[in-house]
Amino acid sequence: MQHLPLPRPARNIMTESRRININVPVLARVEGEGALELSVRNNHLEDLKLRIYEPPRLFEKFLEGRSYDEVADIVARICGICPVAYQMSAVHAIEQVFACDPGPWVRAMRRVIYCGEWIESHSLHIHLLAAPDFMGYSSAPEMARDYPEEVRRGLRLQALGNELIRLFGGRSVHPVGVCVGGFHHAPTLTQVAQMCIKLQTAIDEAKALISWAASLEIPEESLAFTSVSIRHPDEYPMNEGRLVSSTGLDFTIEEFEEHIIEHQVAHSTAFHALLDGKPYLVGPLARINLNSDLLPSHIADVVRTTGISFPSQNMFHSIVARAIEIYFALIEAKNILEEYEIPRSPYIDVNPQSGVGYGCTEAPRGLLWHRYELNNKGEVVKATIVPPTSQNQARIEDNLRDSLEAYGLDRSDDEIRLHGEKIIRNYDPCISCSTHFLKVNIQRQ
Amino acid sequence: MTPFCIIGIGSPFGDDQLGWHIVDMLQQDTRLAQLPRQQMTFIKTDRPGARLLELMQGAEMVIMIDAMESGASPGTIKCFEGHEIEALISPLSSHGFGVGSALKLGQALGNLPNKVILYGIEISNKFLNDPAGEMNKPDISYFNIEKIVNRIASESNSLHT
Repeated sequence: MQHLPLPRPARNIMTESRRININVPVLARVEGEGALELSVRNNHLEDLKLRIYEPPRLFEKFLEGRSYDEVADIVARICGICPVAYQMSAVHAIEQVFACDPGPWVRAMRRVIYCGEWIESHSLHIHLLAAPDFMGYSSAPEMARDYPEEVRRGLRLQALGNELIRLFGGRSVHPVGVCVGGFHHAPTLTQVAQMCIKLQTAIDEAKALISWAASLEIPEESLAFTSVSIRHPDEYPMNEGRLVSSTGLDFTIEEFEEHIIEHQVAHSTAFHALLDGKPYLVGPLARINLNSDLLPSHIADVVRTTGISFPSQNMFHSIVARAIEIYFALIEAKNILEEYEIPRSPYIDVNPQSGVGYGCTEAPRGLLWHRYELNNKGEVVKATIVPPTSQNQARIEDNLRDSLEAYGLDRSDDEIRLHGEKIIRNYDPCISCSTHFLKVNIQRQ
Repeated sequence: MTPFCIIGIGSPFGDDQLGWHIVDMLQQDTRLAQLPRQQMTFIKTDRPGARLLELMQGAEMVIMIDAMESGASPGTIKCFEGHEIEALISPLSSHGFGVGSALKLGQALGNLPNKVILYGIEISNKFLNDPAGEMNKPDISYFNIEKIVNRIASESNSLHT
């Protein structure tokens, strides 16, 4: 849907304090609009609210009454950029209810399709959103005039990620190949061999991307925040593991709700989630902060050459974390596909039964947690979906509070707006995924 | 890719599916049916972002149809061309990279089709925000959809010939 641009409200200077209303239309489609509202008194922040306006998503309600075998196709529609993540968390949760294990082939190929999504999503963010910020351009098209090759590299990697998703998903937007029990089809040996060649060709480019990302003028900043991600004993996390935090927490995905509570805030239609009462970070930086020891040694060597060491408390290092994960995902997918064999069947048959199941996987933007309650026919009685952006909301507000004060609130509204946008973009919020109010009338005090 | 491409842009939310719906109707339209099929592709896509460039690759002429919110009365059609489409707004997230951004990017990289036209069709915002609104079909009862299809079909036909 097309929205026409809204005029930005003029700054309103009062005698003692000024109220800065910065409208940041997120735009384009149903992604909603975000607005940042700051109340400043004597150059100090009195109040900060990141407002998310957005039609309610209601996918949790749409799922009620639907059969288990429809869930993967429905949740894929929550997001056009990360449909695989939604499918992965959903099928894992449902397979837990049915107490079935699709086996090593399915497990490995799920990792491959997930790699495709990381490559596609991270490439888009690095080249079209983060890089223009760090290189001093107001937009990717503007940057493309001076740095067309860099932008083309981003589009190339994004297209390759999409192709990897298509290999198993049939199509890259709302892929349909994933099902409870495995995949509807297995790609042919020829298709896989061709994909391996393409992945191999992109690996050097991705290696160079890490140094390029690290060489950008990244602001120096050290913020206090807690990182949270999945951790698996012997692999960089994607589809399974326990949940860990940089504060030493370590719990199962079934215990998620004992530690992480979502709550409504009056100023946003997105939930805010807190870890034991406090904001926390999920996403590529949190993942690498907690799992850098699980990167293969040759990738860790490349990371070392950047001079950036992880864990890092500089949120702007997210761009480097994304570049590292692209490189990792290309190598991981290639390694798995080099051993590819046509399975006897790409899925296992499942026996629907009632129960509760949990799925938690690492979406490009971080933890994506699903819980499903099914009846004995395998129909959804209740669904709960906690996307990464709602988990990062409170952290984004904290980051804005700290960074904007440090930046200087005596600056012009435009400067503050640009800096605020840069901070928000760094989290790559999926604003449409993070809103799922069930009641439209919000009581405001 | 065929030389002529019609792309319906949308999302699964209420009236935002209008672009898809119109592409379905255009595919059935007799005027467009006269054009050789090997010259023409119909695509329905969900919030394509920068991938729009990939979808248009190789086409000489592209017509896009998308739902629009501009304050006009529902059913109003606006036709945008070239720079008019590129009313770029800086996105906060890769999810917000819209049609305007994608075209501006394509132009900067020098790989846009010769002719790109966007038909924006005003929808009623209430159907997007209505939590009781149906996910699966747009409410098109409040405007004359046939008229819209007629206009796009006859204009695409004349543009093509």
